[in-house]
Amino acid sequence: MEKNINKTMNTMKLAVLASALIFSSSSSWASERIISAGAAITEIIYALNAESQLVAVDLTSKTLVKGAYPLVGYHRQLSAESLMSLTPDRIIGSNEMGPISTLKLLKQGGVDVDVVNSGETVKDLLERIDEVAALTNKTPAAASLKAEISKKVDAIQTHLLTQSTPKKVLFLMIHDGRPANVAGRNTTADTVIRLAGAINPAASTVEAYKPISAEAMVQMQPDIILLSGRTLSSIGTIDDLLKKMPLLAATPAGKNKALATIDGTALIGGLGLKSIDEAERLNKVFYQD
Amino acid sequence: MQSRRMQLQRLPIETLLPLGIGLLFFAITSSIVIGPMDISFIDSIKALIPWETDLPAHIQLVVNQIRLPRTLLAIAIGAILALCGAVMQGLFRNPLADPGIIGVSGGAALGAAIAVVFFAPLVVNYPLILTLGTVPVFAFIGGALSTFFVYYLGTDKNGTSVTIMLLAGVAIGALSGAALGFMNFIADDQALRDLSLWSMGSLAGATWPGITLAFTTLAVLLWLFCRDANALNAFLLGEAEAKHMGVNVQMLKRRLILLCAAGVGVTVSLTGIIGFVGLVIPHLGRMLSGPNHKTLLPMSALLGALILLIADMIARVVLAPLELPVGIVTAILGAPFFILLLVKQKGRMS
Repeated sequence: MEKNINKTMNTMKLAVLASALIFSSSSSWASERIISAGAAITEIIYALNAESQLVAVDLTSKTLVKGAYPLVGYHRQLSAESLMSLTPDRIIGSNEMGPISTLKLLKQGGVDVDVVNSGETVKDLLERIDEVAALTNKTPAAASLKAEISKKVDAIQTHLLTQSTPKKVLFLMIHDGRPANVAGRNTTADTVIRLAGAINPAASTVEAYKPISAEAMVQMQPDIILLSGRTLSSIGTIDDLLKKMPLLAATPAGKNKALATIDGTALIGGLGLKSIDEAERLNKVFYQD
Repeated sequence: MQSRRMQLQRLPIETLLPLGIGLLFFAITSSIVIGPMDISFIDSIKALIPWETDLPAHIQLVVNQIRLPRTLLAIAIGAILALCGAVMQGLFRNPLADPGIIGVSGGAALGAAIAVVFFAPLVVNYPLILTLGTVPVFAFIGGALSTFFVYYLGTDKNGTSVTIMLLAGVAIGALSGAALGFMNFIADDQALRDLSLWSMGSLAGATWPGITLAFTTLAVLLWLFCRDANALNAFLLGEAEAKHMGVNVQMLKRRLILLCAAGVGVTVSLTGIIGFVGLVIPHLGRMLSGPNHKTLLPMSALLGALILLIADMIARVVLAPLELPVGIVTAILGAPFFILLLVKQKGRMS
C-alpha cells in the first residue's frame, strides 16, 4: 500500500516535472512578443534577425528600427499599463530600465523582465549578444555575429602592429553658439577611439561629455580632431572649424588639417555593432599607411 | 451685464458642492475606465469589486494596481496643491502667490537634484538606497530647509513680514535655481534626463503607502485650514485690521506657512513638481464661489482634484503608449486660463 502511494507520488512528480519542462520549452520556442528597451538591444535583435518578435521599442531605439513600431517612452520612465496594452511576453532592457514599480507590476502581469549587461567593452558586447540570442532563440546566429565582431577587432589589432606611435584623437561635439564639448572617459566615443588604436587625450581629466576651454584643447595637442558627420555638415570644412576655433591651429591636428568624422548614431546607446564598424573604419583613417 | 456675470459666475455653495462632487465622481469613473489598454467599461468596473475574481488577471492588475492608485493619488495631490495655493494667496494677499512662493518647490527641486546626481550612481551597487526613496526624502528635506530659511529671513522681533518673505522666497528660489544649474552641469546624461522628467511631475509612481500619506495630509490640512478660514477672511482686509479683529496674526502666519510647506513637500516628494494647479485653481474657485475662505477652501480642494485628474487622464492617453509628464498638461491647460483671467481683470480695472 505504502509502496503504491510512493509510486503514485513519484509518477506524479515526474508528470509535473515533464509538463513543466514541456511548458517551459514550448513557451521559449514559440515566437514571443518582445519589447526592447534600449538601443543596444534593438540593434542586436536586428543583427540576429529576430526583429519579427519585436512589438515595440523605447525612444532610444527610434532611429534603429525599420518600419513603424510603437514607442514606449524613455527606458528609465516606463509606464506599466502602456507596456501591458501591447501584450508583450518579454521586455529586455539594461540595468537602467525602470522604474522598479513598473517592472514589479509587469512581472505580476506575467511579463518576463530581462536585464542584459550594458557594459562599454567589446567583451560586454559579445556577452550581450549571447544574452539577447538566448532570449530570442537565435543562439546559432549569435555565433556567426560574434565571430564577425572578433574578426573586425583582430583586423584592427593586425593593422596596428605596423604602427609605432599611437595618435591622439580628440572628439568634439559642437553646437552652434555653445562651447565645444569633448568626450572624456566613460563615453562610447572614448571606447571607439581606443578600439581604433588611438589615445583620447581628454580621458585623463574629463569624464563624460563636458565643455572645456579652447586653451585646454591646445594643451592636449591632439593629432586628429574627430567630429560627428552631422557636426561637420553644419560647420562646413576644417578651415571653417579653424575659423570658428582659431586656437585649434596651435595643435598638430590644426597644422595638418587632420579631421575625421564618425557616424553619430554609432555613439548612441553604448558600444554597439555600429560602433565596432566605425572603430574598424577609423583605424584605417587614423593610420593610413 | 454686471448682474448677468454674477449669475453666471457665482453660484451658492449648496449648488456648487454637489455639482463638483458629481463631476469628480464622473471623472473618477472615467479615469478608471480610460487607459492605453483596451478594457471594456463593464470589465473595468467589475475588476474593482473584490469578489469578482473570474476576470483575467492582467485586467485586475491594470485596474487595481495601476489605474485605481493613480486616480486616488491624482485626487489627493490636486486637492493639496490647490488648497495650499488658496491659503498662500490669502495669506500673502497676492493673486500671484502659489505654494512655490515660500521657496518650497525650489528647495525640493534642489534636494531631488542632489539625490539624483550624487546618489543615482550608488544605486547600481546599493539597490536598497533606491527602495528607501532617496529622491523623495531629499526633496522633502530640501523643501523644508528652504521654507525655514525664507521664514527666518522674513521674521524679526516685530513678527513676520509677508512682503519680505515674498522677496526672500524669490531670492531663495534664484539661489536654488543657481545650485540646480550647477547640478545640471556636473550631471551625466542620464541624471540630466531623470532630473528634467522629475521637474515635470508625474503620477505614475503611485503606491499605496504614498496614497495613504497623501490622503492623511489632505485630511489634516483641510481640517486645519478650514478652522482658520475666518482668520484668513479677516486677513483679506489687511494684516493690521486682522490683528484688531482679534486674530493672532503671528501664530496664524507661522502655522499656515509650515502647513503649506509640509503639504507641498509631501506632494513634491510623491510626484515631483506639478505646476499651475496651486496658482490657477484658487482663482477658478474664487470665480465660482467668491472670496470667502469658508467656501473657497473646500471648493479649491474639489476643483484641484478634478482638474489634476483630468490632466492625468490626458497625459496617459494622448500619446499612448507614450506617457506625457502631467506637469506639461497642467501648464498647457493652466497658462491659457491664467492669461484669460488677466485679460478679464484688465477689462475690469479700466
